[in-house]
Amino acid sequence: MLKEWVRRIRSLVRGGREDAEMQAELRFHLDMETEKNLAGGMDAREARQQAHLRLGGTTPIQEAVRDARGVRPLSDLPRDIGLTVRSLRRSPLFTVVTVATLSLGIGATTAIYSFVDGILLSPLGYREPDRLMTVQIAIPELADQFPVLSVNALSMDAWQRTCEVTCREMAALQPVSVVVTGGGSPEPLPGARVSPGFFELLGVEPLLGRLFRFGESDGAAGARVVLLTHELWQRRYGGDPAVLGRIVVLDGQPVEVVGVLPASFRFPRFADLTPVESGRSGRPELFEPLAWTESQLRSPGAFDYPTLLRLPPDVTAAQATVELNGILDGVYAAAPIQPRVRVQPLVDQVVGAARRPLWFLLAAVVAVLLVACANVSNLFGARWLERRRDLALRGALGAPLGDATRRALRESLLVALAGGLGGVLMANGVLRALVAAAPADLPRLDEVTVDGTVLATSFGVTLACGVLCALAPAWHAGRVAPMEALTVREAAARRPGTAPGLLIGLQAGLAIGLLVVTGLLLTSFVRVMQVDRGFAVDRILAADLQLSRLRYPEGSDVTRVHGEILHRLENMSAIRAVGLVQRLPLEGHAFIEGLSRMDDTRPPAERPLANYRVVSPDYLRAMGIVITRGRMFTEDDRSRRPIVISEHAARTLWPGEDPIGRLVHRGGGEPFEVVGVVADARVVDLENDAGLVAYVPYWMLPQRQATLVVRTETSPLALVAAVTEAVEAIDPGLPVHNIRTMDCVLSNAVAGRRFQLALTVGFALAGLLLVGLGVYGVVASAVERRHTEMAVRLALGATAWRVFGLSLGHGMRPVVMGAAAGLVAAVAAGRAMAALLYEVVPHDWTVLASAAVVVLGVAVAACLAPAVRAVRTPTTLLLKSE
Amino acid sequence: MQADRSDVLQGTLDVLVLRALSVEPMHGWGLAQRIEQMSGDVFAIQQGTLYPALQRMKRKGWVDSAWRVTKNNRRARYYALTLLGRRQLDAERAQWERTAGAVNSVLNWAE
Repeated sequence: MLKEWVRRIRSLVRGGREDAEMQAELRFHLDMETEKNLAGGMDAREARQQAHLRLGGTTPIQEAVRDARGVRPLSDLPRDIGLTVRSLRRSPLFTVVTVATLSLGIGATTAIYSFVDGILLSPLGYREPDRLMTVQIAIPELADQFPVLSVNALSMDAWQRTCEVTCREMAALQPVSVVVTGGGSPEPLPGARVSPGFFELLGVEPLLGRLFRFGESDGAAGARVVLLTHELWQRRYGGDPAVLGRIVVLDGQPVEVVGVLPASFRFPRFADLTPVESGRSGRPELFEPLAWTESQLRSPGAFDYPTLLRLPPDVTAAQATVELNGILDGVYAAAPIQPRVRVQPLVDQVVGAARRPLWFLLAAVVAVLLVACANVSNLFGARWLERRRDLALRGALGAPLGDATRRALRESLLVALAGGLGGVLMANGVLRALVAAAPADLPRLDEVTVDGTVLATSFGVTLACGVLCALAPAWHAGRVAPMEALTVREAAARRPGTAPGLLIGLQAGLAIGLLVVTGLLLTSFVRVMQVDRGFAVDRILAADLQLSRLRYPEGSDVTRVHGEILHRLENMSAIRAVGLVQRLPLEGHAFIEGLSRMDDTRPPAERPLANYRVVSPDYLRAMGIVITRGRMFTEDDRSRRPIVISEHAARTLWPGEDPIGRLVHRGGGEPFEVVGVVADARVVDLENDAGLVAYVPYWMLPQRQATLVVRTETSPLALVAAVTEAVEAIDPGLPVHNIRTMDCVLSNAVAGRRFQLALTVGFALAGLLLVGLGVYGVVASAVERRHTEMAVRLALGATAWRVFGLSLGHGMRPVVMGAAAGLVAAVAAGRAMAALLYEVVPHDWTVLASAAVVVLGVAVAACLAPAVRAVRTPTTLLLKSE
Repeated sequence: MQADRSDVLQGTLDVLVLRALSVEPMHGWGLAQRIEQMSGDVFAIQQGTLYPALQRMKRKGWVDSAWRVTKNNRRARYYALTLLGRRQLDAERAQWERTAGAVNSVLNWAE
């Protein structure tokens, strides 16, 4: 098959030369024949004439040779296209419907493909991106709390000192959040400290200025330096090149701008790089040099630093893992935990979780495209069926059989090309809508565009559609027996064969698959929304506070200003309750530490761990978290060490006993006294139980980054200005940012599901509509074709019901078979997407049954009108007309 | 003058070409002469049909072609039988003999 195409293309290219050679060959032939005739005694003129006569016309011969070669000259193309266009223009409705159907299909496919390409397929914009790896740590002892962690300074330092092969290019990052002041309003910015060689590892050159110099570490050398991203440079500094060498104020510290990174440099968001830090989701906008402090280098824990590695040539990820593990074994030889290294491609880490849903969306849209193609193919098939007599006649008169197939292919290719053009035009708009609607936490979302690769792919898809659509007509065209032209009983000759039925079956199968998948996602969505969250979402406003180290150097300063802000807001009339928490529910882990009874003698690794939330006393009331036993701590508890735990924690630590008044510790240190128990709440994410949760007072563990939670009497958004002003009144340099309602947080938490669901519902509806149209078309044309037969049956005494049933059966038989096959396939597909489902099994019978009922219902509805028409056939009239 | 000669059917033409080429490679005109000779002038071929047929057989890999100089020092395209072509000829011949045998036995039975 491939060889055949290669030959065709080659002879297309070499067509000119082969034509010339053929001409020479024919000339030689004529010369020889003429010479022979001359020798036979003819005069020169007659000899030449006879030679021409014996050979035949050279032009038809050349054409026949070209045909035999399988290629028409390109000069035929305009004529062929003209013919095809004229024939399509004669049936405008047909053309519009088919082109529009394919436009929709190809447009949707192109848009979704752009999505998948931008996020999953196109390489990261760094030097040799496939050699770039992330290094992570898995600690088997903590696996149920953290499957993976980032790297700590201790290991990083050991690797860089002792490693021989792998670590030549390795760099760690530390996410930071700084407040930039001066030259505009104070703005909190996500940033990163990066260890030496970070930019060299990625292969990034600065747009302006320079990168960091070796040894230019954070604060140690006196002067601090910073690199700006292109985006920040444009936004805050107006793209002014004079920013180089300028001193900017970060967290109150003077820092020198030494360079600007190019616009093409996009570093992944930390949320996509680190397994735990799901709270900080911004891309870093500025970079500072990272140097480990003594305390960082001493800590055996603190697996907090995302680390990148460029594999040296000829070293595999597995080899790197072995070497890094060997060094870790030395570091942790005497420790109770045994950290293991995981090296995986950076791109996998960045897009990992998004991969499956996106592939699945692509599969869904391809299913819709196939349904659309099947429909168009059937329409073409019906069109060619009408031409059968004409074709048969041509065949009888000697037109080569391939001619008709070629014509069918030409027509469908032309329609597909028009559809492809429409689709690509549409895709851009659709894509923009998709990007706008997509959940913001989708990685690399801002890298999605319709580019060359996408266009090439959609061109390929278009051609494939053209060929697919030509299947049914080519089937008809290729099976025309010339005898048919002569048959009187034209009706009998117009039997469509099995092609339309097959296509309808295929459509029904695909549609039911789409519906089942939609049903499963819908059920999951509903179940997720019905989860007992354990906290309220209505009329709650949240805003992030970030206190700079310069203004608030001590923990007590942090506590004091937090207290002032809370106090000021408490007294406002429209506010029912106000609280403080270091991380809102649904926005990920904050920190996890041990939560043990005082008498727990097990080794630390075996003791329970809890999610700690640092909160103000009124936080529970503001967030609507219910106290089930005891009480919440109050400001009066400042002299004690109170703690409130979740029911899950109470059950785990003191099964069947009253925990109030008991003591717990965090894994050493002074004990806390349990003063209350609260209902379990999904504080980490919506779909998973948060495990053990412990609430400790904000004055005990002061947090520079915290979130204000305000429960309001009326619409929370009406209070935005009041809250900002209240904070400003206390400290004008304190930025209040990321203001959002809890409704909005919840909505973001299910944004991925909603997006997926909305698209799938759209695809399923489109598929269903197309199936309805397809079934209608096939049944209607079958009824029309067979109305004589129906009339005869009616005349001979068949009941109306029987005729009705016959027509219905004609459409429903392939639908039922296709649907049955589709159900089986859908269960398999459901199993593949089990990770996307929530509390519903892939073979959920309600979903399967509903999908079957809907598809069959649509098909029956589509059959009804033509079937009724069949029954109402005015018998006598028809018989006469025959 | 040509009325009493039957037209050559396509399949037959292929066999004739294969047989002619099995003797030696030759150019198109020579082939036309040889085929007419071989069939005792019963088959008059419209010489033009030869060329598409050759092209088709070339595509099937039965024959190969190359430009060479003739005895009279002119350039002509010579066609030669390939191994595949020879096998095809054998197959055709076997088929023909089977059919002919069948026809003969039917005739014998009728006598």
